[in-house]
Amino acid sequence: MTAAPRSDAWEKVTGRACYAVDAALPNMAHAAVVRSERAHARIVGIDRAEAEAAPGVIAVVTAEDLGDLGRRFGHIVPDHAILAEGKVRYFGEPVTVVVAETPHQAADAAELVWVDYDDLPALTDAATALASDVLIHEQSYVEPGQKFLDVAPAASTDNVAHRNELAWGDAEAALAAAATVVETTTTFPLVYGYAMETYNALADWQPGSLHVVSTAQHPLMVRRELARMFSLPLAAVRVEVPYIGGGYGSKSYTKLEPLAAAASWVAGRPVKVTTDVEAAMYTTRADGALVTVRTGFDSGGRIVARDIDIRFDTGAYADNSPLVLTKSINRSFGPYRMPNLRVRGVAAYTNTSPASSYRGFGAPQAALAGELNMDMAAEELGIDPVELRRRNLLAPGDTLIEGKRPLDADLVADLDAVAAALEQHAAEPTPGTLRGRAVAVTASDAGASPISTAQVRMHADGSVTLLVSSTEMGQGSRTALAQIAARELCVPIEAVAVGQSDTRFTPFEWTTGASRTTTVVGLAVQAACADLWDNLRDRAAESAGVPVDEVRVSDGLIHVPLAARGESGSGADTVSGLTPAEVIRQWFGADAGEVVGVGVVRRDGATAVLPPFWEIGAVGVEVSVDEATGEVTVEHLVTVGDVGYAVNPDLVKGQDLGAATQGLGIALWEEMVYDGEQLTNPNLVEYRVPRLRDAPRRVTSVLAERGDGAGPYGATGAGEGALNPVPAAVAAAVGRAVGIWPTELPLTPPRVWSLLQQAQQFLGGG
Amino acid sequence: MAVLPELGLVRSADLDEALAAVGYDHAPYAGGTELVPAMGLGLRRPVAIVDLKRVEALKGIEVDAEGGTVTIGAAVTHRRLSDHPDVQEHLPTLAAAASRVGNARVRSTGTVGGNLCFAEPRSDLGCVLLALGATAEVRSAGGARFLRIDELIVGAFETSLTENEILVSVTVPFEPPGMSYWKLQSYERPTLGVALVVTAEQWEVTVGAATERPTRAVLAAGDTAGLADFVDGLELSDDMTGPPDYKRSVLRAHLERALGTTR
Ligand SMILES: Cc1cc2nc3c(=O)[nH]c(=O)nc-3n(C[C@H](O)[C@H](O)[C@H](O)COP(=O)(O)OP(=O)(O)OC[C@H]3O[C@@H](n4cnc5c(N)ncnc54)[C@H](O)[C@@H]3O)c2cc1C
Repeated sequence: MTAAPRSDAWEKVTGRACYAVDAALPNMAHAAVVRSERAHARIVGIDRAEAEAAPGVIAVVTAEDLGDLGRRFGHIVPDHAILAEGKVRYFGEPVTVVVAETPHQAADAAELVWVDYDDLPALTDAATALASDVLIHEQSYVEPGQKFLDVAPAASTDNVAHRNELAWGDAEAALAAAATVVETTTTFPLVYGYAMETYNALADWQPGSLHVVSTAQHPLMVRRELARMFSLPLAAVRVEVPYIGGGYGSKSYTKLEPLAAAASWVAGRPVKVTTDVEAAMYTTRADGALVTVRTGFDSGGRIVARDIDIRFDTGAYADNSPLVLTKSINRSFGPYRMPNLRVRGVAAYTNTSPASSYRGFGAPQAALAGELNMDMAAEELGIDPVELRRRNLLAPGDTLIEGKRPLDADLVADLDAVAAALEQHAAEPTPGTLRGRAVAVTASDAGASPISTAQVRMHADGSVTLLVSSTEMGQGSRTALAQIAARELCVPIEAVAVGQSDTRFTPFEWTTGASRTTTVVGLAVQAACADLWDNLRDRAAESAGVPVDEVRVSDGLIHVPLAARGESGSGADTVSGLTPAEVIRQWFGADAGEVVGVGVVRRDGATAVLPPFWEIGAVGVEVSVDEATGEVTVEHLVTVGDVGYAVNPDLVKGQDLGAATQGLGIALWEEMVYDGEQLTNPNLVEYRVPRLRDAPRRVTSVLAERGDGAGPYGATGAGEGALNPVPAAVAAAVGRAVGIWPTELPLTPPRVWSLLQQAQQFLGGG
Repeated sequence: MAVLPELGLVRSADLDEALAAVGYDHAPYAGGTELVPAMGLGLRRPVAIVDLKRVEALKGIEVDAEGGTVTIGAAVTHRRLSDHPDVQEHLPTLAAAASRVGNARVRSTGTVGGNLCFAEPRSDLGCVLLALGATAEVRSAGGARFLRIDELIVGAFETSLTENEILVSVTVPFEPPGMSYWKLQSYERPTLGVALVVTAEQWEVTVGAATERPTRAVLAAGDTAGLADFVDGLELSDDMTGPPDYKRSVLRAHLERALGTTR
């Protein structure tokens, strides 16, 4: 559309933008969280007398103080204790919260809380947890076949948090009959969705109401859980979300809010809880995964079947991982024609930081094995890897999964664009280095539930306030949504103000995730604008005293027959175009008033069939590997943003580059390392996120705009797509460079060096 | 940790005041790039910190043309060190190493003294300064001592300073011909640093970052067996940046390249 500048640029560049960490309320107290120093242990006792006597302390809160509050949360599996009760399940779990007048007093007093533990065996990886008789949770919510949202707990018999499968045809038989079967197993690391802002929440409980300001990506989901825990009507719970300093899925669903709210409930004061990076890493991470893919091909290189096993390390609490697992399954077999399929997934509880949503939502984990498998197959079949994919990719309109939306993208065209760009800049290795190139493609069922509401309020001067509960976490959604409103209402973008989400004032929104905002919320904004025009037309007709059907709207004006307005003489086809502002002022009879339009999206019309859209990832990388040090340099990154229509091309490219860079982080650097019970690298010096110097030497960012999406002007979403295939592409490119296919990420220098050693032994030996 | 414990700050105007103030629970502090995180983690718990940043006597960079040395104050930042024309002229390898320390924030606040006195093994300056044969001037209220770098840094996070002493400066002989410094830095801090002084007669090899403290060998040029013994004998760290085998292999490859030897 246009290259509209970001509406939040000034505030953010000048440091005036407000985040949850900046929020304050009169009489506010501060919390320090006492976190578990064991991965798995019974709590024998908590001695808080010393802390209670410390200066400035208002309350020292443990699980036993929570009275008749709902003690547990979890929108899928209500397994997550606000404060550990009876036992702790991971190192870093909140056990006690100290509320004091100042952050210093709270932090000092927190050191005076003595927790006595009785150790239990710590199951810190999925294989150990699944094989163990020791149970992390006493209750189980896993009952295959039932919708997990309605499942009542049974007694646990194992450490399975969730199981799911997807199958059609007869994969076993097809694999047995296949000309070639290629098997790939990969390990996807535990990663942290590093955002500049950590988790923060301020809560103010008062009799009959709860007010929370937090970093929640999905304020309405948090409201629902808080209302249940505090036995309050939805309307009595107000969740405000100012700017969020980065989310990447890590801030989806409920995190710190119950802790802050419970502390406020006990202390009788507004309470603020903040986290540092270490606490944030112990709040949520992405699911680690061990994935095995077996693919059968016929003699022409066409896929006859895939059999896939996915095992997640989900950590101590389920959070959103059951859904991530289900999505990972849907996203695991690639956008390929698949006559026979079997995918089985299991999410294991472990005594580690709880996993949840993370950009890509199960797709990067599965694609690592699935797409690397295509490269291994290409080698084995002697077919070019791009050509092998071309032979198997689905065409526009094809079905990926029965009953779901047909493919709304041209994957072969996207892949060809990637391959052409890679080819164009391909270079020879310099002495002492090796080079490799690879492509990867993914398709994700994105958009989540198409439930969204938008409200546009047009003021007496024709300017507009747009209200949505979609959260702005850096992606630029307020700008893109304002652009849509401005275009629909024929006003300049400067005339559109977009407020922050605040459940007391802004209308219902399902979530801000699954790359859905431009598509789904954009449709709601369009509908609200259409409703506004209808209302303006009604008002104009009423003011003019003509039937509504004689009033027309075009080019941003409301055309009213002149005759009817009392200006006699000319024929009935003489009309006068009124601006919306004129209509509003005329109707109210003053320079005042406003007209409102409301738009709703649900499973109907353009979004009747799920998913609302398929989010495409199509990338290519060329890497060079230093033979002596194992250091990997990304020489060229190619992304294709297949977004149907780019409402704001710069923002789409920003999403693609950001997502791909996060993917490079996983591929090359990022890993939460557990050494025994706790993380060895809970800080940003040792948990290494990509830095400017790690940026690819060359970036080619292509936008594919074929108008084939269900969103406004044919748009679909961006945000996750460019991450999903990147770890796989890098693994394949490094594999091609060194001559051994990697099985484990991240490809840190020592790991690549050891691949080089293996390759040398392999060559030397045979 | 988000919140530091409350602590006192002594802001001394001159060296004598600072020397009078430092003690077992009064830690000297310059850029704070090491001390502040260490306090955040509860590894250091001083009652007060004694600010050295404002002590003029610790901030000089002075050339003694006759003696052929540069004296660098302990409170000089990496950034000033790397940008200073005299350092660039007489100690180009040191200037270049300082310009590649950590990140911009660390370079503009972190100091030479803080680097040496924290004795974090994964450091560049210790290695380069040992290779250059620098002398450290250490003072207490009672007087001064002069130490070689390997007398100052005695182990990982361990110096020979007493609680009452402050490192005042390092005096560094002008860089000899044939000097180079190379490092592998995949993470925030160096994984391995190698300073070489190569002449027709002699190979001086100093290895840092992967060793507990910078370690130096002086070999006759061409003594590949001696070099191999030195490399094989180094105790290399095992951490997130890689196992000892990896570091030794990278070290060997670098030495082969730099010295023109082959296996
Ligand atoms: C992210 C990161 C990356 C880094 N990367 C590198 C790198 O690439 N290469 C490298 O060499 N280093 C690196 N460092 C270390 C950096 O060089 C040091 O942090 C810095 O120089 C320390 O100086 P400071 O003034 O900040 O020390 P401070 O933190 O102020 O002090 C450190 C210690 O020294 C003591 N101290 C300070 N000055 C004196 C003095 N004059 N006399 C006696 N005791 C004193 C203090 O009491 C304290 O114990 C890195 C550090 C960080 C945090």
